[in-house]
Amino acid sequence: MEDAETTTLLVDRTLAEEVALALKNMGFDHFSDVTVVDYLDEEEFELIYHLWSHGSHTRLMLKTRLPRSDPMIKSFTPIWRSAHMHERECHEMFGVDFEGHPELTPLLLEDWEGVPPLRKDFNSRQYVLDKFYGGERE
Amino acid sequence: MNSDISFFTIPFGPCHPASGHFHAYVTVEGERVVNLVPDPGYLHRGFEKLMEYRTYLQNSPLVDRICILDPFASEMGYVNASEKVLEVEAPERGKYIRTIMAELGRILSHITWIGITSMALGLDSGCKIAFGDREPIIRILEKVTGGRIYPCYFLPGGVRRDLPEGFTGMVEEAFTRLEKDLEQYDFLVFNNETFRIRMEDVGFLDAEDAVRLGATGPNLRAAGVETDLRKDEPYEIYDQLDFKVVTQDTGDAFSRSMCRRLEIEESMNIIKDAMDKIPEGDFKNKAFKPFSKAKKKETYFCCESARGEQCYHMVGDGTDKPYRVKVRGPSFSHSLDEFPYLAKKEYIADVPAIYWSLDPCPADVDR
Repeated sequence: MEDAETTTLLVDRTLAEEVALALKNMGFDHFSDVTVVDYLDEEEFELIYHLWSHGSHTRLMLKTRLPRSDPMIKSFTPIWRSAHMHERECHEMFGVDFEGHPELTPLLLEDWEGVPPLRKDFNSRQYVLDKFYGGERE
Repeated sequence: MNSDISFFTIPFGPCHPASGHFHAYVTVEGERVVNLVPDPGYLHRGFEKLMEYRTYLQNSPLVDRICILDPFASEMGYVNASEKVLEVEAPERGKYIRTIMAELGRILSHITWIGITSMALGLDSGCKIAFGDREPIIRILEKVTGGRIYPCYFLPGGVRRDLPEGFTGMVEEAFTRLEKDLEQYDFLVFNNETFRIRMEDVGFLDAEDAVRLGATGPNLRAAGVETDLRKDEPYEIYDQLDFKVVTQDTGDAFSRSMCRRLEIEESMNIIKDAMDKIPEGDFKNKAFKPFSKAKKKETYFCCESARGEQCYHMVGDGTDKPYRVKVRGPSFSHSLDEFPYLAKKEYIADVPAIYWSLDPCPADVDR
């Protein structure tokens, strides 16, 4: 995937924490968001951290890839406090585990069991049919 | 569990008149808040998943629903992000119209905030005047877009239709009324003894903590940080307009309120400036069709909404539907990080004042 406008760094997941610390020290003080994209065909999740520097007005994307079978990465909450809730949301919606996160409990959903709903193998239309229409609808 | 009777937990919301649909567990010791645990999700509608099933055109009305109070900001972020993956560009006039409408949306949102905050603090006359002031602006929206609350007006590549005849007159009329009423707000709300006692020296958020907790928009500017995406990362035609970034220096609830109050005037200046400069020409790019296909690329676009940084991460996969859209609502950090931090150690009676000084919108927390 290409994006010409924002500087993008692609790192291995084992190095992500070190790179993040270095970026924090370089002045990227605002943790804007973290996004997960589920590439089902490639059997991988892509994690994209969006950072912004209030001092130099620069935006940066930090990307890393995780295998779908073992979606585990070090939490960035100790580095950026505001990553806390964003990571909780990613854990709930994609089932990505953030190692060292203080509180990976459900955030928006209630009593959800089954596939994390934003994964590509969860079909929300089929779910609605099964749950509310008994499996079929004219 | 502490068996002491002075410790207990009170639910704040989700049907509290001063919380919207936001819910938090407030643990108090006597009158002091010792802990506040946010419990969002009452407005979770799963927009990010819904958007994967719809085309770029069908998503445009959907994003209005992300935040009812400031729909143009959601649309602004969405259309700019999708223009990048679709590789269409809006014509100059379209960009001007979008900027004017987005600023009207900001005024609308700030006025509503004055109304709801006055109501939460028991100043009912401020609430009535503010909701009265919404009406002329909502009529402009109705005339331009056809919708009073949900405009569905911006499309990738421009806007749905041109500004109608008599638009300038309507805006001037609404502004004349608003300018008169801003003096009334100063008298009834911002210089009111009750408002000042409730808001001043409450909920201090200094610049360092604000950045640490992910604050953006007026909440960060009130702590003295001069930041505004309209200046720092100009989009649409903001680089052609002349405006000031409103900042305050104390960082308490009152300075956050004043920041919004002053931004109303600044937005009025932006609209007047843009209406003077607006060029003739096309208002939309006809290259965008209902089933236009996106390129295989991704983008992250942020715009300055009335509450702060509203961002869209969009991944196009070569079809007419986005592969993944992630919405960053500005209130996400305000409600879930700053609010619990500020409410701790304060009096229980100050919790609504702190909550409303942050101006969160529960709808864009949950999405």
